[in-house]
Amino acid sequence: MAPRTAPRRPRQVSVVAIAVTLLCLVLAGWAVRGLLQDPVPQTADFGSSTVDLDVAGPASEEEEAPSPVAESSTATSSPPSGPTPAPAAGSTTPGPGRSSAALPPAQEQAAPVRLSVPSLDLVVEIDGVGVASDGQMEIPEEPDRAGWYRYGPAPGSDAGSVVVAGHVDTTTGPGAFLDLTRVEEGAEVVVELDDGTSTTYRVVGGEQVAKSDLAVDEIFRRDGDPVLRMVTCSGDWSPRTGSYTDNLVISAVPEQ
Amino acid sequence: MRRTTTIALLAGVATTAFAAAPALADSHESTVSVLHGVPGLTVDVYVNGEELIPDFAPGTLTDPMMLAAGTYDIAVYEDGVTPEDGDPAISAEGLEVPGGANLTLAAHLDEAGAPMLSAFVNDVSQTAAGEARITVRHAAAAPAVDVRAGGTPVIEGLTNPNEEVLDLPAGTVSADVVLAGTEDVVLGPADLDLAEGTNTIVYAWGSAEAGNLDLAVQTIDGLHSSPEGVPSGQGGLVDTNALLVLALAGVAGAAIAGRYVVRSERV
Repeated sequence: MAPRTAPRRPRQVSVVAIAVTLLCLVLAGWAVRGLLQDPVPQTADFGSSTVDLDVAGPASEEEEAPSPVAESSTATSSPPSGPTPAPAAGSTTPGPGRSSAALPPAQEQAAPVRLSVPSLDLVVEIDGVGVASDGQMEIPEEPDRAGWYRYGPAPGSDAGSVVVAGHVDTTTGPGAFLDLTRVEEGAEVVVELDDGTSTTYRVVGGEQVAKSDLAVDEIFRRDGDPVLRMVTCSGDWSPRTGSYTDNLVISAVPEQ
Repeated sequence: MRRTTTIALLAGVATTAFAAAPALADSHESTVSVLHGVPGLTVDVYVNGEELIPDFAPGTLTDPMMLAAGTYDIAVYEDGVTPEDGDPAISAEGLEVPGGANLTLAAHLDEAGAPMLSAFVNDVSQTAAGEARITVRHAAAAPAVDVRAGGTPVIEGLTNPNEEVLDLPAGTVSADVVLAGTEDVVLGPADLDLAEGTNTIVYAWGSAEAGNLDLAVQTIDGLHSSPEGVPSGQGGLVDTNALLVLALAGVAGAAIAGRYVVRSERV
């Protein structure tokens, strides 16, 4: 019995070894193919790598900071921002502007439902999202959907930064914004809202930024010149943190 | 090469990040809004002897005004009565206005129904991303109350002229006001839209006895803060390093396994 099993062993080993060899070669080939394709978003892929993230520019930022206009039609007020209260427009009563303090009716804001980039054949459905328990922006769980930060401005707003973020990939495959890594400056971006209107933007630049240095206060600003910011991930994959090291931020401005 | 591009860009972004610091209030003045919460009485409000708010109707709120820090005498006269020919309905002398604060001066009834003035300090500190602030002020001729959100008491035993401040997830809540410790609803329910980054200040005013209890609402927006980041990739699919490691591992694996093949052939 013993001599019979001995000669067989080499054949068994060789079958397993061949299988493993082939598997490894296939794996290596797939990885090399991925390397050659290099889908990692590069700032050089964009028409201009020097476009400032702050589309408004620092100069206009300063101009916008003080807002001496007192809101007259609603009871809404801003924290101390202006030197003088202006009388309510059109009011004949002297003294400070005033308004009813009655409970205001709930207001429905139009929300974006779809974002498309015709030059990339990219069409992505959008969900309104908020903040996750870890303090970061929520991203829809479905990999093919993108999230609009619903506490910030909506597309079509005359001020502030509209933020739409999508996965570049998930554990199961490509994400909604993988194609966005190929977008070029000047590309048209159309955002449709649930009230039937739509806003058209033009890509003006892209930035690859380390996540730790992401200028969140600029990206999520609610005043200043209107801009659409499409955010996804890029850079190197960190298995330790289970995330990418960088964010890719594409900026687009409303078409006049 | 990739690294250097990234770092160069980072520097650019970091500078713009700090350019947008909010304008801070001057420490020599404060923002002051005035609320009229005395039912059935249109008034003229005098500050330091000067008429500041004429024909001020109940249930209205002024726009925020900037007042220099200092001491103020406030006198509220019934409409038509002047300091020359009558006495004020309510007055407060030596009201201290600090610098750099946000205040609401409210004319309202005390618990027993007599008109009074209260100066409330509004919490305009930043709210966490995704949160809203609600401030509830008892400015009505009514006993202690509980405030419920969706039927659950969130504020208990609030008395005139006090307030309670809560930070909650932003959204709409159905709120009502009950007599403290009971199920007796005295106000509401009303849908309150608690906007993110906004302090929604709700006043209960009027008189329970006269049956004219009501809600007044003041909102102070712009208190929002930003999410900490955007986690938009989970898989590591597009990572160059991961692919490189896989490729090397694949080749190494093939080499090792290949040696077994060769060895076993020899035997």
